[in-house]
Amino acid sequence: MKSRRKRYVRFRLHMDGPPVSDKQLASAVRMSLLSIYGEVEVADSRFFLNEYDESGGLGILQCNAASLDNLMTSAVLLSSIDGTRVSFEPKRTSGTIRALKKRAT
Amino acid sequence: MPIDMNVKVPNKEGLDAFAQMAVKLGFTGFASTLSMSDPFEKLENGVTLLTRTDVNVKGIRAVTRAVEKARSSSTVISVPLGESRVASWAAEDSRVDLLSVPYPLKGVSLRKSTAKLAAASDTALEISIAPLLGVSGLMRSKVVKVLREATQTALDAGMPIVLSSGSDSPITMRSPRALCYVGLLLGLDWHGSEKAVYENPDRIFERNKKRLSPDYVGPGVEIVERGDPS
Repeated sequence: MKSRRKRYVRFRLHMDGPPVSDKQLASAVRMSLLSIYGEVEVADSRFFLNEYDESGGLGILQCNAASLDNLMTSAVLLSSIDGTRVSFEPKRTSGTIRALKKRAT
Repeated sequence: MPIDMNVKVPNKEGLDAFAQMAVKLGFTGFASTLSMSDPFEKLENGVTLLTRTDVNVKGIRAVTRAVEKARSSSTVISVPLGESRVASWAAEDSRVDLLSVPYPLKGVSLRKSTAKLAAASDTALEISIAPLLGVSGLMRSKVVKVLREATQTALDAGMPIVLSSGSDSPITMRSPRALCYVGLLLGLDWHGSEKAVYENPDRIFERNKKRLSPDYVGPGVEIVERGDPS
């Protein structure tokens, strides 16, 4: 069986309004991916929010390598989450979470 | 050097917030239609503010006059795609930097012949992502359709593409990397996206910086040293 390669992305969610929780963010990203690329892409993406700091908006997400571009496009096109206006900024991508954290320090 | 070529700063009081956001997102500069004394200037936080003129008049004569007037005071001149004769004229004129896709998009299209003229005179197609942010579902698919078609026509003709935010508030600005991902949605590959965000805007800025210099005489002619008149 072909192994699924993962990608980890460090990001910042710029917010204008009340803080957005991890559940709200994950749901909004999935809904945007569903709206633009469809149900199969949501299923294949294996999107998961690894870390997320509500106050600062910094976080790390993981997804299937093949779905990375579509997932990022969907997140970037988010303009508001439950009344909070947002701007999603992908900062760095890596194949392992360890490398991502190492580069952050 | 990423420059956001289209930021709609409403007034001078709001400029600081846009400049701060631009720095946060990693832009080295942004263009705005805000009237300034110089065509470009460095702000306190190190970001360069470029003066932009959107030529929103009808008829070739009026556009010619507006472009002539704006060239010496603006770093970026943009003509929106609309009437085909005006668009073709603007595409051919080397003083015009950008052919922009206006919003609302009804009836907007980039003709092959216009794109070829633009490619020959190095006029770029500007696509602002703002219309994609405010809509969803079927409405977004209509916007995507128009933008993808324009992008494809520009690519086929070899016309340069510039991706900008078109934001009217700091939070609607997107980072250069984020703009690259939107480029993928519009049909560009990653390299093309990077070119549209990092390379082409910077090239336009550098070209016009030279043109606006007092030593510039014409294409390929500039004063390298001034002699002593006595």
